[in-house]
Amino acid sequence: MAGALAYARVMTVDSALRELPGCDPDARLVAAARVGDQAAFEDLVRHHEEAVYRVARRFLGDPEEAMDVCQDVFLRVYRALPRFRGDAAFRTWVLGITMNLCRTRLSSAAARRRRRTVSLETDETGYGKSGTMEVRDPAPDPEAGARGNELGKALAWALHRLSPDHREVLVLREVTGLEVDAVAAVLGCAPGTVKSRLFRARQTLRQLLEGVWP
Amino acid sequence: MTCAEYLRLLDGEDPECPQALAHRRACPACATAFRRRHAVKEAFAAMASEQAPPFLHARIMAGLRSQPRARRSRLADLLGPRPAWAAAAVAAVLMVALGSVGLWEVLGPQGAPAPEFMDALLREAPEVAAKAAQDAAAAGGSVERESLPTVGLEQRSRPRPPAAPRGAPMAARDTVTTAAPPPAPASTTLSEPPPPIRQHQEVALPGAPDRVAQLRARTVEIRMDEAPPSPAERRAEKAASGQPLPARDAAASPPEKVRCLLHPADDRPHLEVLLDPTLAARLPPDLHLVVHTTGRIGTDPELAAVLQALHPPPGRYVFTCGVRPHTVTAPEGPVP
Repeated sequence: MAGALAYARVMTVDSALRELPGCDPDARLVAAARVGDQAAFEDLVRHHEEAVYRVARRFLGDPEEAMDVCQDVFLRVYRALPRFRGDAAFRTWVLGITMNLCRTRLSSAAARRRRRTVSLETDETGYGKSGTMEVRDPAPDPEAGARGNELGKALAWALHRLSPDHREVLVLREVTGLEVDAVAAVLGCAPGTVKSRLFRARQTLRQLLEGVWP
Repeated sequence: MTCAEYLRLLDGEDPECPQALAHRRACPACATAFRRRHAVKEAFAAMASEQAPPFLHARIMAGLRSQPRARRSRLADLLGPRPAWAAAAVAAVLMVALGSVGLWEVLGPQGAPAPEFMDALLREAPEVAAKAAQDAAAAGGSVERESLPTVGLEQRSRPRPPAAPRGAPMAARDTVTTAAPPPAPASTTLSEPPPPIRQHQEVALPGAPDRVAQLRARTVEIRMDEAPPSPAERRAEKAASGQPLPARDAAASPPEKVRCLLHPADDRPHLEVLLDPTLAARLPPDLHLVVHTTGRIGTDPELAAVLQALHPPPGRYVFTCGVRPHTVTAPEGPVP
């Protein structure tokens, strides 16, 4: 029991620092960027662009749309930085903006049209709507490493069959590695809501995977 | 503990308790479910280690460089973020102060606000300046980027004009101009300082960020036009200018690689990048172009021609331009 608890609570120093209230490792860079230090802002971008990309990539399922979102996120961050009050960690704030933009993009007509076009034949994971594996486009794919195995493909497919509410909590918790409280801060809801959504999301994910991953 | 209870625990956030562990050891189905859950966790971890595209950073920074930057006073920086009630408090204090001291200190001799007061207002309220710029643009004029500072490290703008005398009308003192700007020079050279341009456009190299600065020096130029030309007008313009462009003055000046036209549109500037494949042949052979713009970029065949001329390694290249990037595939082998 003690071993399991210890395993569950293992965190890196960096993530532990992020979890502590009022102890944001980005605070110095944020303060410098607020007074016009462009190098500091570029460092902030460098520190968080990968996390923002991964969240957008896994939430939207399209690398190009994810890059668009990344660009929009940091534009918004730049414009809103003078109004950033530091109540939450900078990373939490940035990921909150990311999720808002992802949801907006998901509901936009253009994105709907694009997804519909893709899902008629095969989606980016190589699975059709029915859940049967189809032949993938052999074109070079930058994320071939991440989807190099069957489970990776099946998981990406199943992730995009989840509702946006369920997908966002799973992506933030499992891909970004945020604790439940941090996910709640990003989404602006109660930790209990996050736990409940995570439970439903994992349940649905397990059922979806049973059909495609033996 | 039943299987249903175990699966509920497995899908939750709580760690496995001793009863759950005992059930898993006794139940092969739940043991399989546990193994699958563990494998899914590892697959998520693989997603977490996924690398972003190498040119993502360059693209983000190029987007930032094209944005106007909000100006804040040093006092505001010292004070830090301003809560919503602070504005109301400051307004209340100002009203009391103005009432007790007297409006004659703020107003000029004819009752108009004194220039110093208006300057302070404009300094502290960049949105007022931005609004004025938008109004001028909507009226058919153009806005100098100088009035709205941008993030761009390599941003170049015209030298600031000498300050107008105090008391001059606002329109004369502000940097918003209502007349069409003069045309920009035809090309830039590496050896001599580039002529003033309105906005620097970055030409970045994916995977080789150290060469970005080198390319920045070669620069591109942006010309302000009053309205976007139609395709027919563009063809006529190309014909009139005697394309290909290097033929005009190839010996005297290096080729113009990228030509940009910046059109002040209704809501946001429309930037069009024209790439001439014949010019691209003179670029370094190891050059991979990613052109970051806020508008649209020629057509895909043009980009493909540029890629062919540049002999990049076979692969997919993304030309980032506005909402939708153009993906162009470079063919295998040298192009005749």
